[in-house]
Amino acid sequence: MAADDIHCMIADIETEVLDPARALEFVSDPGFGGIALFVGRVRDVNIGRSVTGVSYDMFDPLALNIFAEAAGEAKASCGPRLRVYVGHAKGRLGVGELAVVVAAGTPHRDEAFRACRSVIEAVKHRAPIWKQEHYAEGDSVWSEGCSLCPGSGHVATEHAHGH
Amino acid sequence: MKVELSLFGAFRSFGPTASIALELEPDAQVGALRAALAVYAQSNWPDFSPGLLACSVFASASSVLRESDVIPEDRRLAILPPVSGG
Repeated sequence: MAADDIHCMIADIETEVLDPARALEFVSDPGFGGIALFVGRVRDVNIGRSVTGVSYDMFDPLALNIFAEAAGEAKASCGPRLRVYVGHAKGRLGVGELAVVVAAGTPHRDEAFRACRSVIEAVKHRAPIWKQEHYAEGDSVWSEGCSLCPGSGHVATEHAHGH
Repeated sequence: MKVELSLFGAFRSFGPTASIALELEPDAQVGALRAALAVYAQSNWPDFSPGLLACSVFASASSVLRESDVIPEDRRLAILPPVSGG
């Protein structure tokens, strides 16, 4: 969805997996010398507990809106010569599987790093996505996360982020 | 009027369905939906935590809504607990 230079997608793990190579290909351009790629994977531990997997729940239409909004904001702050790819998995993932892929392609490295960082931070803090961690002991817990703020789509309160 | 409310994240844990229907006055605002959900939750969800509702927001498919916003015409909304993507 979104503009020709922005691609936002949700990968339902029942039918699709995230592919960083596809993201790199999308943000490539003969005039771009810099590409930054962020790949988020499922860790095997959370707050000292052994994790066996994570289930991602998502409000798809609004999530795609937020992805596109974040990419548009990156374009406004990092310059118009920017291509952005945002993909997030939905469903149950095992340890090591890919949860999120963000790539930014620009003429030079500085804008690429800044754009990639700003987009992944927006995805983590503003997109309607929820993570339920499954523990080795057999129980599952929804992560506490960040409260959303009406209107702006930004988080309502700032707090220390270890995630 | 009947509003269909989709449940996400921790709200999925309280009951067997992915959405619930709530009855509101015509032209009701989002704040009235919050109050109606609190009543529904107290009656139907034994494990419900009021604190979770307090830090959650309501949204349409296109935006997060303010308490003073009128319920959208299609009457389809979602309750969004604190998010934790990535």
